[in-house]
Amino acid sequence: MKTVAFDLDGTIVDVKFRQMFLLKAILKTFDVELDTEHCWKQKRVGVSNFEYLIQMNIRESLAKEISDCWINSVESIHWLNYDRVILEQIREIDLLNELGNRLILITARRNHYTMIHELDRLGILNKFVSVFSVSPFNVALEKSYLLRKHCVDLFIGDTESDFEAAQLSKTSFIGVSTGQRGKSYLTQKGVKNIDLRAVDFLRK
Amino acid sequence: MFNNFQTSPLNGLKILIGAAGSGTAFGIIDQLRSVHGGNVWIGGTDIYEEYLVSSSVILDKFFLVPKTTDEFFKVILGQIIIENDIDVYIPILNEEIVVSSHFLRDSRFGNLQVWSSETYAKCVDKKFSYSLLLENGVPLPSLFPNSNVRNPQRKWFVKPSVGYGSHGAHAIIEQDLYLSDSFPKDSLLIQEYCELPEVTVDSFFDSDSGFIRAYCRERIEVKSGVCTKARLFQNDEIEKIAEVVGRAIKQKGAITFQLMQLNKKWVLTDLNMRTGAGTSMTCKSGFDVINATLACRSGYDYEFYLPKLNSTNSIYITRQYVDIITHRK
Repeated sequence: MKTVAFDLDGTIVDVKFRQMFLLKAILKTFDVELDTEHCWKQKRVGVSNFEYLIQMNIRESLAKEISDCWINSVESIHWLNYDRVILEQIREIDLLNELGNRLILITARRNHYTMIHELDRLGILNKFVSVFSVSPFNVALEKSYLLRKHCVDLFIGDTESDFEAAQLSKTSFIGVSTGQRGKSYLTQKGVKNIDLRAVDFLRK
Repeated sequence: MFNNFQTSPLNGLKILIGAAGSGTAFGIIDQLRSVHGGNVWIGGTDIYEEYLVSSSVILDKFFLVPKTTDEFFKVILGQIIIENDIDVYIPILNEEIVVSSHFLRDSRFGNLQVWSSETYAKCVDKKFSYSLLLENGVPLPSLFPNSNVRNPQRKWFVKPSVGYGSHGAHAIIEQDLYLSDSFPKDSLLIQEYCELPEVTVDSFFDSDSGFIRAYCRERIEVKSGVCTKARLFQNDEIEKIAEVVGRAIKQKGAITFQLMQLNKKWVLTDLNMRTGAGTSMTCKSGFDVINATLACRSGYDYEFYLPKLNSTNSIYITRQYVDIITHRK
């Protein structure tokens, strides 16, 4: 039996629509149009909302106001309703459970309550023996602590912060390139195992 | 790797919804977005400016239109549909249901999918729908006068024959019916007063296959006409009534109707040729009648959207307002 940890946003759950449409809605109140596809492409190469808004020539104070507004709304129950599971990943999770592995979820979310509500709504809460939230502002350090504490054998995530957490705790890592970061960006950050199947990886 | 958004066969569809400022429209748009994300284009029309329409934050485009009673409404709506290559039009208001049924017979609109029909348009008139349902054996309260015996203290329920949301509907005792200036009026429907509980049914029926699902919502609390606490349940007797209604109106997709009790039997007290503002409660509970309607009318599988609700279970749903910033000046 192995202990496998999963990240949530972008790894198990498709968050593109929620994140981009919320940003678009906020910008609309300032009469600014957002090209959601271009913004998402930039996000997948590591550009944050704030940095993207500066690229759009929005003044710094307004970019901060918009980013803060986004952070305050992005985990509300209403916007979380737009998330959908990534079916391929759920199949992998089900297979890992069938093989007797121990699965935990570690996510960088501020609101633990709406996160649990979402997992329950998506029917994936009971696929994990434990669910943990860490601060989105100290992701790598806090995730690495949990990876070490729970003796995780393999961590699956979609960002460089997840990879850094795995490195700090000396945990094997598989990067997912269909979430918030693209394959070339993850490779550039040093991630060697990208889009591998966890079941196959554990057999090696 | 793939997910629900990427694999939808309805990717690229262009949908226009009427009365975008209404709770009903918000619920439909919200539910379509939940399944299809940004892969369907959704436009909305309303008489209010965009910044006063909550759903504008999740629409791709907003169109300001005149009131449905305006002589140019039909022309302007038609222009919007043609100029924007709309594939699906979802009417909300009764007048939109009537106007859009005409588009079905107009070759300029090609294969436009409209959530309406000639029968739907006629059923907007509650007197017509009453007769149609009565002919087809749907249990209904009787209409005034239901006998030659007068009972001055007997209660009746009066409503406009074309209306929605209980506007202008009220209880009245028989002696006041004779005294009231509005009696008798062709524009009124006067029916037997029925007893609680009042149940709203989100009914999905496919008249081509006979597939039926009837999700019942008991209104536990209502504030300003909006249901804020509800109990969702399933009832075989009500499902049978829903099936009869569906066959009578040649239903394709979801509608709502209300039931109350008369001598401890369910009777249909109101029929709406569309979903309602409370339908989102049913959808959020896992019974997605909205996306099922889109799939059904588009010729795709829809049954997976509509699991059966166990008749021994109840689901409780509460509702809170969401605050949406639409504009800053």
